Amino acid sequence: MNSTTAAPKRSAPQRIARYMRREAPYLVMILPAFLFFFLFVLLPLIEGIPISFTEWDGFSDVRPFVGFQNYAKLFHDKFVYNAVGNTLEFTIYEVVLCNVLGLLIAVWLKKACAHNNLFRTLIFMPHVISLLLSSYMVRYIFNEFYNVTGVVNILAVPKTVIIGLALIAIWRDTGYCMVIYLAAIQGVDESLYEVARIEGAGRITQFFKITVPMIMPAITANVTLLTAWGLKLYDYPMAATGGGGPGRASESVNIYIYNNIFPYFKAGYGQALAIVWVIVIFIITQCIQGYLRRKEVEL
Amino acid sequence: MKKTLSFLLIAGMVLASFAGCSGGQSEAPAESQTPASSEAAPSSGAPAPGEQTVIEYIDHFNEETKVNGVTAVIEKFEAKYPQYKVEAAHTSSDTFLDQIRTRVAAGDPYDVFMGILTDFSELVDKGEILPLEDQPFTSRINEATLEPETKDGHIWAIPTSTSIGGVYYNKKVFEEQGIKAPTTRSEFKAACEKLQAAGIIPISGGYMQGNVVLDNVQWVCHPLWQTMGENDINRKIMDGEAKFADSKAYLEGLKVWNEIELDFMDANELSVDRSERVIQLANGTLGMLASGSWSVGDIRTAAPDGEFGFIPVCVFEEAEKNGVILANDDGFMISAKAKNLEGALAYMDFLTSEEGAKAWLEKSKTISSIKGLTMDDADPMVQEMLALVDKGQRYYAKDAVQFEGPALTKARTVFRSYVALPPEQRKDYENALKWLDDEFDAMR
Repeated sequence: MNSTTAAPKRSAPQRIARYMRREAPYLVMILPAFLFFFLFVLLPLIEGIPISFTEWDGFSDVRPFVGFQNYAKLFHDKFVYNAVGNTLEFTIYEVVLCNVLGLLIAVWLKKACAHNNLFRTLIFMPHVISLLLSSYMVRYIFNEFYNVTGVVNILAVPKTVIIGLALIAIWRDTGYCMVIYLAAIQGVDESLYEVARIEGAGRITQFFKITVPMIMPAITANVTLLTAWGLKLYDYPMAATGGGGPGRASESVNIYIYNNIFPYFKAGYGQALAIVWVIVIFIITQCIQGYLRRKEVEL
Repeated sequence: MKKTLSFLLIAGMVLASFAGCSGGQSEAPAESQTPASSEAAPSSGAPAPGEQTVIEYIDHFNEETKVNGVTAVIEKFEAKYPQYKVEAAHTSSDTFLDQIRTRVAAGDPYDVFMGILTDFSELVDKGEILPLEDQPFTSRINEATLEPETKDGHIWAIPTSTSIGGVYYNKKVFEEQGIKAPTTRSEFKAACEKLQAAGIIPISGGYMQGNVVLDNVQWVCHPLWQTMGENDINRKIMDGEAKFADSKAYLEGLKVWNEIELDFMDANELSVDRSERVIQLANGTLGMLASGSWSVGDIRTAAPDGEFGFIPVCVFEEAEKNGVILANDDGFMISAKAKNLEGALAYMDFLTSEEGAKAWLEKSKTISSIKGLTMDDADPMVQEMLALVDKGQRYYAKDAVQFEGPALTKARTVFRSYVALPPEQRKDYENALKWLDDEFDAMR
């Protein structure tokens, strides 16, 4: 065959078939996750859109149409603002402290040796405990600590309950952040640090001028992920504070959505709030991701 | 080659994950035939010889003794009726109502579930609950306890126990502190003050859960509703015809509740549940526990040799006007669309039989609503409760309208929020009632 002959032009079906043959293993690999996402996230969301325009109580056959009434109502609902405030407060604590602590621990433990490996394991271990179990455990620990020492349980006080919940999340998720940052730090070229040392840069300068810019993709991933986790706050207050207590001091948006859809028999209203909140989470995470992506360094 | 191998491996894992996701019920061949047949003709849902069908059961018992009681009943039931297998679930009382409603909304109701009419009045109205007045086991229940479960001429729930609400106290702690069991409001307050001075938590309900908060405020308000002629105030509030601020009984109730309980709340109160407080009552770090007869078993388990007394919530200065609150408890309902209606009816029949009721009573230590069933060796705490009832120091919960359906959950939320208010706001009673109205109305 003449090697200088140009490749024959392929038709669209042929191009698609070639693409599928090349990408098939990867598509099959993401298929379970995509199916799960479709069945349990996307499909309920799509099915919920028509419900949000009704005054459905959650189990009647009748679903009275009310147009945009639910959407208008939620902007005047003081409990929505309370829930949003609680959720944002929790998210800020979790995102900032998990990432800062996770990064500092990753820098501290970046050398592979026996005792570092042990610490890494111990710090990561809380992350494998379920959200519910860790909430129950910490609630009992706080209660018993109060019984023994008289130090007030921060979960029992409206002003400090969000901090208490954030502490549970930080205890659980710092190890996760540490693992991601460890992997990123280990991918930074050592020669950069050598050059910096020769130039006279101290450790702190090296950290801010080399480490942080080089691991920006990991920071983007962690901050975005933890922001989404924080904004979806549900499990911690459900288990640790009896579903948003004391009073409504730890009632998150997701708990308020749940309460409307189920115990309050206002499924239409709860669904409207759920849809608005999904949009809010999407906007916030996209903004954060976009901002951090612009800070990423390309060599 | 490698690519093909990895493709096959991945495809195999995907298929395996689908296989693993198949529901448990489809593994019992007879089960899939039951839903259609049970709707058309319940008797045709009876399992064929040798087959075993599942009865789905759920309750919200948090007390270990009651969970043990259910286990004992199920074991005996399955031994007597080997064609049935009971899948029992126990869940938190806070989320129980939602779980039942969710399953009903999904068209997959439990066969038998714990409940009384006030819990599920909306499901009754929508035809989701099976009426039981024609069932033979209904006649085994005391008529007086069936009355609150009757609506439109039908009986919707079978209450197997009677609950008595009031206050437990640790006799040893009282003796050590030189306190006599209080009989009046001022004695109750004085007892709390003395316990607090001694570093003992005076009184608690375990207010992490909204249902516990509502129980306690209702025990304070029941005697007031009934003596002040406001037996239907809750109905009016639910229907939007009246407000909390219109009620003199609620005004007095908030004052009493604060004076004898909330003012003595432990700093940890809003993070502790009732089961934890039971342990503290048993070990003497808590002086008094506001709870009902359902806690007898757990208190006795925590302190087998402990001495505990029971008194009414002392709302009045006149001792004879203070009374315990009697209500139906441990009621059970059957779903009208139960997948295993035959099995559900068989289970209820056994539960209310002498054998089943005794198995329940032995473990749970409750007060039975079954006719002619008496407790041998009733716990001294129960004896004190029954003595108060015999003396006439009792109010029947059924004599006043209680919150029901969605209003029940809203009332729990609203009063739990009230308890979390700063004391100065909580005790500005007239404004607090307006605040309760605002909160309740915002949830309409």
